[in-house]
Amino acid sequence: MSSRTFADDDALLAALHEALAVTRAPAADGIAGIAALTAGAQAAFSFRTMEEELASLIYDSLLDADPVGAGRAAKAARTVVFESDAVSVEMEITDDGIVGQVAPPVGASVFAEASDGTRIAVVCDELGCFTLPTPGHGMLRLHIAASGSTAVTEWAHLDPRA
Amino acid sequence: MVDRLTRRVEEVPGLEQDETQDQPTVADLVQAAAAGDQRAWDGLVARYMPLVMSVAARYRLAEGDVADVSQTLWLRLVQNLHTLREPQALPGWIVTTTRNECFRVLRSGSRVSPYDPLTESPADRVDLRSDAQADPDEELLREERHEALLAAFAELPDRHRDLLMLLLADPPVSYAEISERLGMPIGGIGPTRARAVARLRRSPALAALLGTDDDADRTQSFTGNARR
Repeated sequence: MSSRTFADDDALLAALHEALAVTRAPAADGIAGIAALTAGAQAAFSFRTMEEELASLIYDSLLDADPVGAGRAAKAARTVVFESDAVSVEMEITDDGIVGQVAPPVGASVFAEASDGTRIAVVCDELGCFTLPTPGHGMLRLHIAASGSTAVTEWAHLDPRA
Repeated sequence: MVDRLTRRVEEVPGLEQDETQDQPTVADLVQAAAAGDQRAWDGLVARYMPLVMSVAARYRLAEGDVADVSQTLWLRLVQNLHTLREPQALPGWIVTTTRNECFRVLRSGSRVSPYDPLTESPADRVDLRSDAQADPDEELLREERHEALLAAFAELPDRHRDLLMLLLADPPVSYAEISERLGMPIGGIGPTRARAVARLRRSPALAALLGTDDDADRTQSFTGNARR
C-alpha cells in the first residue's frame, strides 16, 4: 500500500509528474504530439449538431460475432442498425460498398458526412433504400430528414471489419 | 458587484477557495460546451487530453493511430455532451471509450502493417505492459495510478492546474518566472501548491485509489483478483 498512498506532497507531485510524462513526448514522424492532437480535438467541436435527434447504434453484427467464427466473419457482411425515436437506418457493409434502408421511407432525405468534413449526397428510392461507397479512412454519420423530423446517426467506422 | 463582495468575505487566509472562487468547474464546462461555447470545449480538451494520451499509450498503436483514436474520442464526446448528466461520469466515459477505440484499431489492423487474422490473434498485438520485463501486477497498479492522478488533476481549477504544470515542467521553471507568468507573489506559490495538492487528494478518483473512500472496496477487489 505504501507506494500508493503518497505519504507527502512531494511524493504525490512526483507521481503526477510521471503520469504526465506521456504529454511531453515530442512529435515525431507520423506520431502526433499533444499540440497536434489538441488542435484536432478543438476542431471536432465544429461537428456539434443541435437540432437533430441522435440515432444510436443499437446493433452491430461485429460485436455479436463468436470468437470461433472470427475467420468466417471476415467474409460476411457487417450489419449495423441505428435508431432514434422517429427513424431507423439499417446498413449492410461489405468490401463492395454499403447497402442501407431508412425507415420510415416517406420523403426521406439523407446525406452522409465523413469525419474529414466531406459530404456525400445519398439517393433513397421509394422504399428508403440507398447505396454508398465503403468509406475509406475515418468515421461516417448519416443525416436523415424524414416525416418532419431530423436525426443524425452516431459516428461510426463503417468498415466491413471494424 | 454582489459577487465581488461575496468573494471578499470569503478571502480569509486559510480558506482554500480564495484564488479559485470564480473559476469554472468541469460541470460548468460540460454545460457551457453543450450549449455551444467553444472556449468551454477547449477547456475540456486541455483538461482531459493527458488522460486520453495516457490510456492510448498502453496499446503501442502504430503511427497515426493515436491521432485517430483521439479524434474519434473527441467527436463522440461532442455528440454525447448533452447526455452526460453527471460530470463525475466523464473521466470513466473517456477511459472506456478510448480503450474501446484502441481495441478497434488493433482489431482492424494498422494501416502500416495489416494484421492477418489467420496467423495472428489480436492479443498478439496488444502488449498491455510498456515493459515486457515488468511485473504485470505492478504495471496494472501503475496504470491505474496514472489514470486516477490525471482524472483528479483534470478537475482542479485552472489556477491550480497552471501552477502544478509549471512546478512540474521539464526543464524546471524558477519561482521568479512562475510568479511572473501567473501574476502570483512568490510567497503565495508554496501555500497555493499545498492547497492544490490537498484538493487533488480529496478528488473522488484519487480517494478511491488511496483507499479513503467507499469506492476503495471495488478498487481493492479488482487489484486483488489480478494478484491471484
